[in-house]
Amino acid sequence: MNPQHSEDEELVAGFKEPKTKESAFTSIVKKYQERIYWQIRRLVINHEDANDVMQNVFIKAWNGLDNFRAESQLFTWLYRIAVNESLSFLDQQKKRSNISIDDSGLHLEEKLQSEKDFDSNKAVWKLQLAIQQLPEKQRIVFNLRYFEEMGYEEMSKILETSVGALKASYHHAVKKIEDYILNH
Amino acid sequence: MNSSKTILSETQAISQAVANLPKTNPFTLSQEYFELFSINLLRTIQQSEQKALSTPENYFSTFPSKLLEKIKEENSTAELEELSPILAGMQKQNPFYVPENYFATFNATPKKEQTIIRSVFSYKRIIRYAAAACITGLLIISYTYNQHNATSPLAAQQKNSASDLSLESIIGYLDEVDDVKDDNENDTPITAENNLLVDINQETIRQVLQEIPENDIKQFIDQTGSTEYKSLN
Repeated sequence: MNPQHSEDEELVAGFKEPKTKESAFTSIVKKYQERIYWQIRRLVINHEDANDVMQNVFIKAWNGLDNFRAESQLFTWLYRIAVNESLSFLDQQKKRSNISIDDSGLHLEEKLQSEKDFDSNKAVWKLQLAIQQLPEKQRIVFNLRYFEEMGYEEMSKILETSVGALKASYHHAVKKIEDYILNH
Repeated sequence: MNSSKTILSETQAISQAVANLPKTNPFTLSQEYFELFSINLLRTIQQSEQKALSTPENYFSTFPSKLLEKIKEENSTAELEELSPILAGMQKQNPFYVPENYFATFNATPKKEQTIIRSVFSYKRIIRYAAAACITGLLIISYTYNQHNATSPLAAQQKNSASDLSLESIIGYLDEVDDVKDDNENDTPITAENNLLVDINQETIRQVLQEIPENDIKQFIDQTGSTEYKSLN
């Protein structure tokens, strides 16, 4: 068995015991918080928004861990919650600001531009601007593959999409980003 | 996780330009954030759980009924005070008596209704119809009989003889009847009531008194002490 998986199982078992519940939960949060945070942050851009979404993710984890079954990996389960929470946050934000689906990239671009040290001439920021032009699904796939270096199998469990569809999404995403960088 | 080399080669195969881009993170974040996140998160969870447990027992289950009761009470009291301050000041006590443990032992299930079976052929009903038929028959017979008598020769003769009477003979008959009536009225005996109506003058009284012996009159005056006799004489 994968040592990572067995460690997660121990943490989940510890969470289910009242005496070790809080300590086990703290260990789970500390183990995954950074990866979850950056996945959220790349989607919502703003730190305050990312912090709100991450809190919701771990509160949901607190409420659902008692019923968590070891069939799926803890990390995969937490990532799925993170992606869903990020997307529903962005949906709510669009509704609140009356932003159409077509303009959602522009909205995120504005948020990027308000980031500290933003410089559109720098390649790192240009890449981020290019990512914001992608449709939601391609944006998630690109972030998970390019930055998180996640395998397609695991990604397919998180996003509940076939490996072939994910490969196609990644391909399209890379091509669009290339096009953006070459033209800007 | 896939190896970085595999992903890099995949990206290079799609776009050399994207593969060459730096993967450095442009976003900034304070160093303390991840150190404090788990502590802050646990505090938030504990606060939300404490909030959830801070309501009194049965608070939510009894809240609607309590609220309605209060609204009702306030409304009715204010209304009554406006309409009649005297009535509003009176104590609201229920004078009616309910047997002990009535509500505790009250059985809400209704009793099974007994089905009343009514016979289609009732003797009573038949007798009633028969009696009604008999009465109707008697009425018809008597009416027919009277009609028959009215059309008989004797009845016709009586009718004809009445129409033959002349006006003079009818007047004569009526005069005779009046005379007989007057005679009967004269024969009416004088009762005490009738006597009061007789007109008695002083002459009549004097004649009556002359017929009475003088000794009897003196004796009567001595007994009663009346002076009326002297003045009469």
